[in-house]
Parts: sequence; C-alpha cells; structure tokens
Amino acid sequence: MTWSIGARSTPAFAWAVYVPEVAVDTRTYTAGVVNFYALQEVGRVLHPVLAAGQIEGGVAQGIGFALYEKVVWKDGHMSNNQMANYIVPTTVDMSDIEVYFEEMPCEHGPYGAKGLGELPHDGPAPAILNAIQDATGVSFTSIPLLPEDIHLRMAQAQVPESDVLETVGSAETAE
Amino acid sequence: MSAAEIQFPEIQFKVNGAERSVSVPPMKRLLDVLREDLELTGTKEGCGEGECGSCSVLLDGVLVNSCLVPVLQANDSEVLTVEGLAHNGALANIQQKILELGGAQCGICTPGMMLAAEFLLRKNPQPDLDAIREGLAGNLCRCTGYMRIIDAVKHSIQTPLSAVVHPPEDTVRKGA
Repeated sequence: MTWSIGARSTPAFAWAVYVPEVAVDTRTYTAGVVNFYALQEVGRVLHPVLAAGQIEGGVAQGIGFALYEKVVWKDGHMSNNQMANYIVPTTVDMSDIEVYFEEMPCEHGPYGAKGLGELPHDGPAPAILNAIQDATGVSFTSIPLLPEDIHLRMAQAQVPESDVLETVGSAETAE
Repeated sequence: MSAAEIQFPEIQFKVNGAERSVSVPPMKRLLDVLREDLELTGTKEGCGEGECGSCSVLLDGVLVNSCLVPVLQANDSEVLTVEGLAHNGALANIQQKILELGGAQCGICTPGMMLAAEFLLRKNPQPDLDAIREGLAGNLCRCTGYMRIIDAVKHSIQTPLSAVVHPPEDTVRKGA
C-alpha cells in the first residue's frame, strides 16, 4: 500500500502493535492486565529512555481508560471528580510493559522522528477488550469495562461460572 | 481587633535538619507553610485531599500527605521534604537513579515518589518488587506508567538511600 502524503495535515504518523495479556476472575468479574507488549514504529527514536517512558505512560493511561476510569455525569457535572472515586491505575494495578521500537526514519518528521506520545492511548483499550473476549468468550464493546459490566454481559450471555478461577487471554491491536 | 492584628502562635519545628519557626494560623496546611512561608516549593500540591500523594513529606519519619496535616500538628517535630534529600548539593541515590533512568516526566509526582521510596527503604532496605509496588501505591503518576520509577527504586537498593553519590557537576545548584 502506498501512502500519499500530499495534503495530509499529519504527514509523520506512526504505527504500533499492542499485545496485552489479561486475567479475568470469573468469580469477582475483575479483569486485570498481566503483561503488556508494545511495538512502536515511530520513525527514528531520538531519545530511547524518554521515548520508552512516553510509551509506558501512554499504555498506563490506556489501561486506565479500558478498565478503571469511568466518568459519571450528573446534572451537567462530573459527579466523581475526585481521585477517590475516579480510579486511575496505581503501581499495584500496573503490569510490566515491554516496549520495542522499529526504527524507520521518516522524511517528513524532524530528524526522521514521528510523534509517539498520543498513539499509546489509542490502541491498548481495544486490545484489552479483545483479550478479555479471548479469555471469556464474550464480546465487550464499551469502555471502561468495570466488573459490573463484565458480570452483566456474562450473565446475559449465560456463561457458566468457571471451575477455573482465572481465565487468561490475549489479543493484539494494530494501528 | 482587626484580622491584621491577630497574633498567631509560634510554631517551631525542624525542616530538613534546620530549626524553623513560623507564626501562622495553626490550621494552615503544612503543605502551604512549606511552600509559602518557608519557600520550599519542591513539595507539590496535587489533589489537595490526600488521594494522590504528590505532597508527601516525612513527619517524624512517617510518610504523610502534607495537605492533610495542620501545621499545629508539626509543632516540635521533624519534617523532611524533597529539598532535604540531597546533601551539600550531592544528590541522594534515589534522586540520581530517577534522573538516570527517566523516572520523571512532568515532575509533579516526583518529590512525593522519592519520599515514599525513602520511607519504604528505611522500613525495608531490601524490598522485593511487590513491596516496591505496595510502597509506591499511594502516589499517583499520570506520565510514566510507573515502570521507570519502580526501576529507580530497585536500583537504589544496593546502597543505602542516605549514601551520597557523586553529583552531576553542571546541574548542582547551591543555596544557603
């Protein structure tokens, strides 16, 4: 496939593959990410430490986006606007994140680089939901996917409570 | 008597080893006294309600959220802030490792993270990965995904945290 840069407003766009491993507890309906692998094609990596740090941070937000961070609106306001009830991932919620780079210097970016901070927000949530589908056999279509959502969908789909406490799945999302 | 004439009680405490005294409303938050009255702005305000840990300091060796501590409670106590981690311009080990391993991005959580690490390593000098995760769990970070902060703590384990490492020469700022 050939991409024409032409009139694109974002000529130096990046590509990535995200592979989460998840575990779903079929008694409490809690889902968690066990391992996360990110492969990023971001042109030339200018600063390996900071670049990987940006990916890890973005993936952490993506995990929060997928599993924890529910915004509850009430009367035109966010009713859970505190860190106590708007849950962002902490150190104990985070899995290990392994970051790999594929370097293909891009002629349209500075020194061959492309943007990399935004992309890791986009891919993890769909990848995590696909992995949860792989684990449970039930398709989920909205985020954040809280335990009550998993319970509801699994009850609707009449998935029997498993003898195995944890089911594990993985999936990949490419962008 | 007008408000301007109110004499507030003097509160004395040790901050980073130095005796300090302030006359401020006794319910003023320790966080604000540190930042406004003592000009130690390394301690950051995050949520202001004890959830995020970015204002963490050690009060008599205990990790506390300084946004939840009325300064009255700090009377006659010892406070350690991020400014007290380095000695004579030489970074503490955890600071050096955060710097080397990329543990800071926007930097708001960093002072609190380092004090949480200091508290953890004082209690448990050889923490395993789970203990490190547990020890930092009260400090939220939105930028790093925690991996590099956890790495920095791991790499601080070999030598005691209070051991001073060589300062990077061109970044040392000296103050009195």
